[in-house]
Amino acid sequence: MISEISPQMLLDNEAFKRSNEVLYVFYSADELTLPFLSKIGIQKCIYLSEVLSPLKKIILSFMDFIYLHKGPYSKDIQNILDHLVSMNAIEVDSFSTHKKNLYVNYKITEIGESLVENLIYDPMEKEKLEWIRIVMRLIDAYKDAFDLSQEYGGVDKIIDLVYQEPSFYEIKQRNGKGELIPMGDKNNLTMELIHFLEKVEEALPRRFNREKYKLDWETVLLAFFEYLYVKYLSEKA
Amino acid sequence: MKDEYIKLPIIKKIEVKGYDLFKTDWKYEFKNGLNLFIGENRLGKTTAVYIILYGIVGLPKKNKNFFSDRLPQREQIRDIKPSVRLGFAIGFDYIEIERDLFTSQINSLSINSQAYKKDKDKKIEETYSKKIVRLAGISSLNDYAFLLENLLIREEEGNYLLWEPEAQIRILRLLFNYGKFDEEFRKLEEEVRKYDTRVRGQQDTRAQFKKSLDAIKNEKYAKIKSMEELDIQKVEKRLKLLIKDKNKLNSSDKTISENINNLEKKKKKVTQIVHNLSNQIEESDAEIIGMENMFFESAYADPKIQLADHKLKHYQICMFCNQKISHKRAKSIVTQIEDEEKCPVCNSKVIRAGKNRLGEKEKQKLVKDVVKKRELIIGKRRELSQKQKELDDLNEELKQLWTKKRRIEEELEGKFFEIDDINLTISMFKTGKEKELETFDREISALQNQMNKFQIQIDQDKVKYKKALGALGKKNREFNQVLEKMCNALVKTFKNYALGFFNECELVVKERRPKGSKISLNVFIPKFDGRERTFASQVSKSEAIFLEYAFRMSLCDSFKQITGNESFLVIETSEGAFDMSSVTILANTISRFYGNDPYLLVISNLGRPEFLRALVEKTKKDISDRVLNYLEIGRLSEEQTRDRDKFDGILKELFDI
Repeated sequence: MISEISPQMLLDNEAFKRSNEVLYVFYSADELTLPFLSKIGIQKCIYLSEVLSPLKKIILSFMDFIYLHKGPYSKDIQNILDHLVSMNAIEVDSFSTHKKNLYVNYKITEIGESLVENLIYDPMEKEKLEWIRIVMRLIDAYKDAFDLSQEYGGVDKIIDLVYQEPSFYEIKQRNGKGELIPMGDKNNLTMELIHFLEKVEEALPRRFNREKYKLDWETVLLAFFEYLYVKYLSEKA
Repeated sequence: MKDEYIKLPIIKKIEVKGYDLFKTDWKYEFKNGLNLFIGENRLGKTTAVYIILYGIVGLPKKNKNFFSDRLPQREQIRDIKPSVRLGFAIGFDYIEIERDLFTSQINSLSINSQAYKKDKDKKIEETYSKKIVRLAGISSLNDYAFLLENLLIREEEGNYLLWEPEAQIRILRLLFNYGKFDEEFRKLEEEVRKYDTRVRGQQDTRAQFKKSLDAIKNEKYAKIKSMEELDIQKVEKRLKLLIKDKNKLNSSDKTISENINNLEKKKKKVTQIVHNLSNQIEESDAEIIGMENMFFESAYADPKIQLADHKLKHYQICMFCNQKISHKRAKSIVTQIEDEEKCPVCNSKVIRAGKNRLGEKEKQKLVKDVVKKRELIIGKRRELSQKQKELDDLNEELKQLWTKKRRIEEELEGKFFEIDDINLTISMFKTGKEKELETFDREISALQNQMNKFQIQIDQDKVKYKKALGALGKKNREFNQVLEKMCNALVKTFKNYALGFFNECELVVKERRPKGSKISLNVFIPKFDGRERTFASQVSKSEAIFLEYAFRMSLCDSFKQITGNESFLVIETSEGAFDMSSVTILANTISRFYGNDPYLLVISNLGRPEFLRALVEKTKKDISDRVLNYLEIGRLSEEQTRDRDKFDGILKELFDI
């Protein structure tokens, strides 16, 4: 029995956008036939989507990630997850406890999928979904490269890659627990790297067909993942 | 009148009451010949000297707490007011006066048995002063104060008349001339000093004028020289060049000002555009957010979404603990959610999804509108960015222009000043030197007039000064004649007294000019061993004391011999400065003085019994009536009390008391 008049929590513009972005991550995971996303995994996926977003020149909504040992963490993501669960847009697939820690896995519901399909009427929302979709695809591709790590499973394995993200890495080096990770400004090392790539492109000789040789953002994103992976490997070695 | 000499106060009795420095009240009646006040140190011997002095002339203003300050502690003062009662003769007249020791006010007064009381005679002080002046033939009570302090009372560490020319001369003038002579002499001295000061002051002022005059004259000569050296053609050429520069600068300034004006206008326009664009963007942003929210609300208002209250509403099962609850309770919560649109946990507003759900067509239109709006806003942002850059460029340009304008203005100001200076120089040159120099001449003439005026005044005052100086000289010569007359008597007496201590010592007259005096005056100085002793440093301490006593005693004797008037001498002895043999000589000399029966008070301690023994040896009269014993009236210290028997033994042996 479905109520015709379902009460709905009142959300502001930013909260709607955050809610949308979380749903796009789950939607993309479902497309890739990833069975579920954990509390830890979803944080890493959104962090990578957010920190790399200047590559596509789009603006995402999560800004206040802090440094924790298990990777970047935003309490807003957890709030949105709980809210989406209450709306049945996502559901708890399974959960377990280990030493006071609660391990929860979520997956998208039909209602969630229907919501996403409704939201992408707006081309700007569609663009965000596309960005998150390709980030998720790369995460899926790289996750198996970290098979040696026994601590985490599935998408959570990507944590080893996120550790190499320059802004996070810098704080990790000094073990700055609870520090706010700089996003989208000059202090962010990833931003510096992105600007460097733009400059390389601008510096191409005139006789080059710029349109032909222009690096598309998918290529640059791929290069970035490769860069993080190489860093991971060199550290392991 | 001229032959009327002054009369000195002859103390007949003293009575001290209520003064806590002493153990008891005490009194003493003086006899002609020797009187002795004997005691140890710190028993009030010196105080007695001052009681006599200030009893007669009153406490001076600068020393008005003299007697209260001598008390060890103020709280020891008794209720009874301390007082002194003095009886003294001036010639054949007898005066008795009682003064409050602390305030110095006269409590009572009687002159030749006529009594004056403080309560009845309000002007008792004035009466006393006038009567004394008349009876003694002095000019004022100050003369008495001076005589008492400098001649008639000699404290242990007192002054030396022999080597203080000013004091000695005044004493001589007071003693050996008619009473008012000293006052007349001092008035003449004052007049000489007055004119001297005035002439010096005027000469100083005149010198200042002279200095100013010289400065102006120098300035005038410098001006004449600079005018002679001026090359007018060169100056005019420089002026033309300056005016040309100035016009050029003015023209640049004008152009820059116009440019600034134009740019400011442009800036105003662009600023307005930036402002408008910012407002539009802000408004559009708000609209877009509103439209997005409408779209998101619609998407999230999917009726398929089951909320937590579903279980509560339809199965009365709690969404948190899965327990069954009553229909009534469940209905109440659901009503709150659905009808009142309030969250049951935090009371926040909840919306009803179905209400905001858009139809397909509405949704498509909304998305189309929002996309259009976003494109529009992107265009506006681009435009804003261009205008902002334009505005920044304008500001930079304006800043440069303003800097340039300020520099030109500074340069212009410099040119203006230089042009003004040159114009002034040229106008001075053209109006002629004479006119320019006239100002100097006027000032010079005015200063010269002032100087002349002062010179006349100086000349007049110089005449007056010389006249006063002549009068003073005449007065001094007059006095020198008097001195000549009395000189023999004084010199002879002095020689007699000095014999014994010295083989031969005499007084000689010497001209000395005291500090501040405009003429040289004759004073007496001692001469022995063939040398005149002009300064105290030329004799030993015991010699100085001995000579001083001899001189004072000689003055008293000569005074009596010449004027026929009595004298009274108080000596607080300094016998400690003498050795064994000379202390006896000193005592014998003093004995010779009182042998003539003048009133003499010797104040001494018991330290040198041989001095006292020699002193009283010559007196044929009963000495025990002539002694005031301080051991009886003073407050003895512990040591003094212990030695009392020893003191009493000496007193018994010497004076049979």
